[in-house]
Amino acid sequence: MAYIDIKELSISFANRKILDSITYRFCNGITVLHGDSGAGKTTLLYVIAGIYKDYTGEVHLPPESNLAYCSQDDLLFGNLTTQENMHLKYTACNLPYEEEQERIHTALSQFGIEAVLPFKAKALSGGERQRLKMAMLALTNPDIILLDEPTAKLDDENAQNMLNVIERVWKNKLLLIVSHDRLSFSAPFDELYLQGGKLR
Amino acid sequence: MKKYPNDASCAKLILKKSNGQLKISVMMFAISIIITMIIGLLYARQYFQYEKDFLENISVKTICVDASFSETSVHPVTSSDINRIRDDVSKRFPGNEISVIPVYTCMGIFMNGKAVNLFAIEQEQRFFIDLEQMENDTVYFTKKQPETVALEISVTKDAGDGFQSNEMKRLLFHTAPGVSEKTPILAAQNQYLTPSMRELPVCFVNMETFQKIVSVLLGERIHSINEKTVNGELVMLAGLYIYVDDLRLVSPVSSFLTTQNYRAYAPADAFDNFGATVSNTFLIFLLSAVILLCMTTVNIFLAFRAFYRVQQKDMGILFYMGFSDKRIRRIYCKPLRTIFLKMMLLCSVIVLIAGMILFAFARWGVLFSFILALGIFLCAIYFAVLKFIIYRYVKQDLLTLLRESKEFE
Repeated sequence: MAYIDIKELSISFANRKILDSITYRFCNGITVLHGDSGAGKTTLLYVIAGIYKDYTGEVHLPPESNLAYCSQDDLLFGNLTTQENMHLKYTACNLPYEEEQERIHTALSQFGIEAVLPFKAKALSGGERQRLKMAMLALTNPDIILLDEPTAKLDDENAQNMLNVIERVWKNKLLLIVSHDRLSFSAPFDELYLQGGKLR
Repeated sequence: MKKYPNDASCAKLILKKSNGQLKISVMMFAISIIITMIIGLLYARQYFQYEKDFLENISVKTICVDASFSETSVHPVTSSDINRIRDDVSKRFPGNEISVIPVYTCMGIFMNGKAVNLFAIEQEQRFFIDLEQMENDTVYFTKKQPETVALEISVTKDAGDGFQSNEMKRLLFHTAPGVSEKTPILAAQNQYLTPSMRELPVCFVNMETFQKIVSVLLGERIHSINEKTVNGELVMLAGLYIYVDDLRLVSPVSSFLTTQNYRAYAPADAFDNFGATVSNTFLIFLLSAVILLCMTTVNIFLAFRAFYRVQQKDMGILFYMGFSDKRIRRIYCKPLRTIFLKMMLLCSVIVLIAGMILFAFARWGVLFSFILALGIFLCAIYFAVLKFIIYRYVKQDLLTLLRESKEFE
């Protein structure tokens, strides 16, 4: 069973406390983290993902856990095709060469974008790019998934579709989603608010 | 087995993605290098020409002394002038390598029934005709001849106030080629000989062989060559040459000999301070080439820096995808290495072709030195780009890379 154990986590930027001695245990299932702009939601994901290390406190993940983080930024190579972007991600994770095509195809199918394989990322719509980013995460079959604003820049219909796909693909995984929007899932999920550096 | 076998394909993708931008910078760099190298080759060719025409050309460093004069008369130089000039010059220009070279000749020598111009020179002064060896009983020509040659020598006898010859004696000699056609002796002789005499074969012997020939020619009438040259009859001093090793001394030595009542002339006198002019020109050439090279280097370095600065976001994306900093470094190093290798190959081929044309398929050593210098230069640029640009950027963390690339955008 996957978990994220946070103990006494604090972060300050220029004498401003962003996270103030947070202690929390995230478990399997969906948790949505809300908060105002600048509240520290993305920073919390950075810390859990190991991208930001200048903090005090402790963050524990299960040994051998497979964590995937999806940034809110469009971190794709626009001039490369979907296939090439997927190949880069696949290579980065050092996955078995023989299974590459099959796993890429499966991941893209899961998010319903197998048809965009030959197109350059910059030619894809906002929704397709978002799905491509998710499909890249799915390649590694993670058990902890951190998603930063997965529905940003999407209209309501596309956003709900995206959430449905996320829920279906990563059922029974630990999903921590940062969002400004009100999200809805078919299964029960936790909602947390980050305010004044504290989780409520 | 490689740990990350597919990183090479990622490097290809990155190169493909950024091909356009980099291509222009690299092409400009390659063109600058080729231009610089060709200018360098042109300078080198000019220098070799200068070296051939002046620094290594014996004629330019030679002063020809053909007469001594007084207020009322002019006399051909004789053997007594040789030692006088040697003494005077060594006293006036101590510590300098100055050779006084007497060249003798004699009449009445035939080969295959035709007269020949026979010259004799001291064994140790054979450099003057560009020979490495001068053996006894060997006659030296400019071109290859049959292995042996028979010289027909008129045997002369005193006849009242003159001499006569009724007898020819044949002496057999070895032959060897190698006498320089540009030796000042031939150049000077061509000034004085009639056109028909210029057509006659010219050959050289050392003084021992000459003594042997002259003893046949003059028979009982000679005790030494020097005695006879005073008379200037059959055996004579064909010319007296002063060779100075330092081109700058030609003019002062020539002037000095004139003040000593000798008629001396030197070809280098025609070029007023030529050596200094050439030296200054080459200094300016060298400086301009160095400046051009420095500007090209700075330019390419800045071009690469600008290119990789833009690439920070891509490096960030690679980090985000899960590549380690070592793997990203490798991914960026590989295309860079490929680019430099291609550039090296292209520049080398062009420099080689240009060099072969400019040096007329000679001076391979110089050409390969240029290519070696090019290789060292490109390696230095490659490692500088690697160390001071790529490594520096890759060392940054994901957030810094993405933030700085945003600022740059």
